[in-house]
Amino acid sequence: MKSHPKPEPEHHYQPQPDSTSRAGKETEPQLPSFSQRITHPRSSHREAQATYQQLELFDQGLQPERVRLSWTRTVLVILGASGAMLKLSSQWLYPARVFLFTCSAAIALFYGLYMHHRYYRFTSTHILSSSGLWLGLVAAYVCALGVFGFAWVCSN
Amino acid sequence: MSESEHRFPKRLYQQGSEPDQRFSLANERTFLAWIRTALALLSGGVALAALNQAIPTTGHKFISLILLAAGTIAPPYAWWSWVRNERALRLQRPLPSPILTLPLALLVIIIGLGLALTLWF
Repeated sequence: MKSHPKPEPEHHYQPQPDSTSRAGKETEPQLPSFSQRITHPRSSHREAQATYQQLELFDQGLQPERVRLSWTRTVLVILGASGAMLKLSSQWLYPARVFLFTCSAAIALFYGLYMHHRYYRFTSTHILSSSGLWLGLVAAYVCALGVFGFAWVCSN
Repeated sequence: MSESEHRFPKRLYQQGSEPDQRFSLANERTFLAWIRTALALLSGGVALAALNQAIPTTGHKFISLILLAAGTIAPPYAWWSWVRNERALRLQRPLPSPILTLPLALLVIIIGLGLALTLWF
């Protein structure tokens, strides 16, 4: 029985060290090819390889764009909910309204400045400044909105 | 000072190795989807309570409080889930199964039926 040829060894993604040009200036880090970054069960098939190579052309741009659009939707919903809560909380204490307004403004400002910078930095340098700090703060604020909602429903 | 020392939570970023950035981005989008779900639950709860002021019916306030409770629990869960998934990606382990998806789906079904009943009778 004729044995099938062995598939090529699959490579896992290894972050590449920053390369330096002849002039000594730092250049943009080169990403490994898609087939090196992803180990796919069908990676030995030429057709699948070609599809992934096509995907690679678009994926580098779309990933940060999708995250940015996702942030846009979330920030819009947060601002809408905060606005509704500000409208409803007209009878409440002044500090609660100040808190809601300040947090909404901070989230809008964060989105406008930080996310814009992060998106373009990732698109141009492929370096992702990932941290759970902003995610934690957004989660805490939405949780606080829930507490305000509870207080409003219970007081009416 | 290494990059992991600037990132929060420090304990998470000190574990394992840097995963493919696209997986981290996908994890972030999942977190954001949970936050939007939480906001939808909160908005539903507040809207029901506001509707209850205009058309008082029994059970509306109870259902709105349940929606608000679910919407308040969801953001901490989203963050916890993000940390759990990021840790699994960094340690190259299988992703943990989501815990709240089934209870949330059941809750939405029950609330939908409950609302239909309270509006009918």
